[in-house]
Amino acid sequence: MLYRVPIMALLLLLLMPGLALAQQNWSLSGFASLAAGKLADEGLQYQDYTDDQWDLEGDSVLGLQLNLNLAERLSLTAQMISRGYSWDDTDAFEPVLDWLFVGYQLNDAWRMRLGRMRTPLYLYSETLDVGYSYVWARPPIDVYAPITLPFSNFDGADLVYLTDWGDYSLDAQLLAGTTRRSRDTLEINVDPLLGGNLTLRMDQLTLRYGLLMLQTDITLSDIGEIQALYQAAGQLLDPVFSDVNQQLSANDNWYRYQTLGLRWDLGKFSVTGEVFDIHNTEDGYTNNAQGWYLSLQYRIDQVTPYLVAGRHKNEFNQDTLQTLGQTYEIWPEGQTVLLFQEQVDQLDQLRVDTRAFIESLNFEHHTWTVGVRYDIHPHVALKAEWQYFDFVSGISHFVVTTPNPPDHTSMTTFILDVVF
Amino acid sequence: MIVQRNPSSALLNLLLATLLLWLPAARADIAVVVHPQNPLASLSHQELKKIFLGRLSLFPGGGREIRAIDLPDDHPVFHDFYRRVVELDGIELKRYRAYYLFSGRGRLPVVATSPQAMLQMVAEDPGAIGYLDIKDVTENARVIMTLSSDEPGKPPKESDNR
Repeated sequence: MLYRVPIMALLLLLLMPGLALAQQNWSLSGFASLAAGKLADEGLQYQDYTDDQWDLEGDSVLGLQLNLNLAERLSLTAQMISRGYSWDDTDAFEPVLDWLFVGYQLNDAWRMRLGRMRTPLYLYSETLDVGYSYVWARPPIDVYAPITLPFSNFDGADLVYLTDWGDYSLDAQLLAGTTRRSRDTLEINVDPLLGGNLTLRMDQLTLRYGLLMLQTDITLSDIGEIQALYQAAGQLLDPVFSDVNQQLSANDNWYRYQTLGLRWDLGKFSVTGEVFDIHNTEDGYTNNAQGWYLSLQYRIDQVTPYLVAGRHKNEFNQDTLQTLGQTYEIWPEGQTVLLFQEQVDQLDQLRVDTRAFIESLNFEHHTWTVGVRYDIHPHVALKAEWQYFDFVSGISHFVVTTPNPPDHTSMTTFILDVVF
Repeated sequence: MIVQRNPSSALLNLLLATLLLWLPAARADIAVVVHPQNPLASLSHQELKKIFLGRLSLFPGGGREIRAIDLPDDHPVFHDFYRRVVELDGIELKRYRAYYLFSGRGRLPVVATSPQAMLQMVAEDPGAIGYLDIKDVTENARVIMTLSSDEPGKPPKESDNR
């Protein structure tokens, strides 16, 4: 609330391009997006968008970047971003430091960076907030999904290698670090985050492969209470309840995150596609996810219409559902041995709620998107986009917040993107 | 006395003006310039392209850190240079640069307000590299490479930002 008015005013002011400042040893530049979005159906929400009214904050951002030469080969980069919508506990338009690193050029090919950086998950992850840098209103959410937000940046170091042979080029990056984010009662701690990626460019074709390994602790206080009840039932009644408790523990889990990206430029026509796979490498608590998108773009001078198809699937704790099923064999519903009626009801309700909770996190949706980007000025692009969601599984945690949602909806977004 | 304008000469002027509009603008020979004391012996076309794409940040052979200098983007030599060397221009170049800068890959070239300012900056900075119409070059800068206007130059790529 606090930041809303001055930032919106500054955002409007900066829509006048040409304000970038540059000197021999430093430069100040920035980007901004002013967006309006709306969903078609009741009871749904994406970012700040609902069916009520046009929301102006969901995708609106303002970013400022300072590049400083500290010494020969040594530089500092800082980027401050103010977002209308933040996934975590950050207030609307509260400025946050997304990049702050020193870079050192070791030789022709190698560069080292130390500090806070954006996690290089996909082709456009590092410029996720710079709408001007991509064609869409926002990168396709089936892949650039909310599940990636808890580790969208990291504190650590990376090593970048660039090489060329004729018209071919190869970029390689190795990285290591940690990250911690919180939202309401949820806290996600990644330590360590390790990974690397390769980008190969061959004339019209760009191929990218990325691998991240994340050791993750997830704390959700509501789950903590549920776990305590299963633990107590495990001690009192049967060890199978302790198994449920253990499978709900999201601490000390390794995730393997693989991504593959492709871009094919055929003159005016271009194709972009990416696919990802998140896999828990251990038993017990699991949250696996897969998704892909394929985007076709056709540029006619300043106007670029595009079409995107995408899918996203989340698989959550399937093993726990089985264990939960076993508890009914061992301890049938309504069994009163050792328990008062009140406790029997409490245990049965707990099992029903746990099943509902797990099932709600097993979802799949498909999306279809049409849109157009219009480059109205060398530094300004205007985009209009319509996205159709098919909630194949009835729910989708990106968009759906109510128990009985419609099985499809659509979202309309208009965005003005500026760089200066 | 009223001077009667010759209608045929007015028509000729119009015709000439129209023809000039249709003809491609005469391209200049472009000189790529560095500081007079820069020890670099030569630079390849590929290296020059990499410098202005930000993929090469030290002069070849373990040299100094490079500081690339651009002419203003409304200067004709700017477009000529980018089309012929970098093979990117217009919106594609802008999108590439936005991606490059805001993904923390490095700095963009500093912009000199005029060819004279370019020469001044090159004369003052041992790590500088710039380009300008060969007719504007003075002894304050060393020409490391010449892009002749006879070279056809490759057409700009219609590629997406990378």
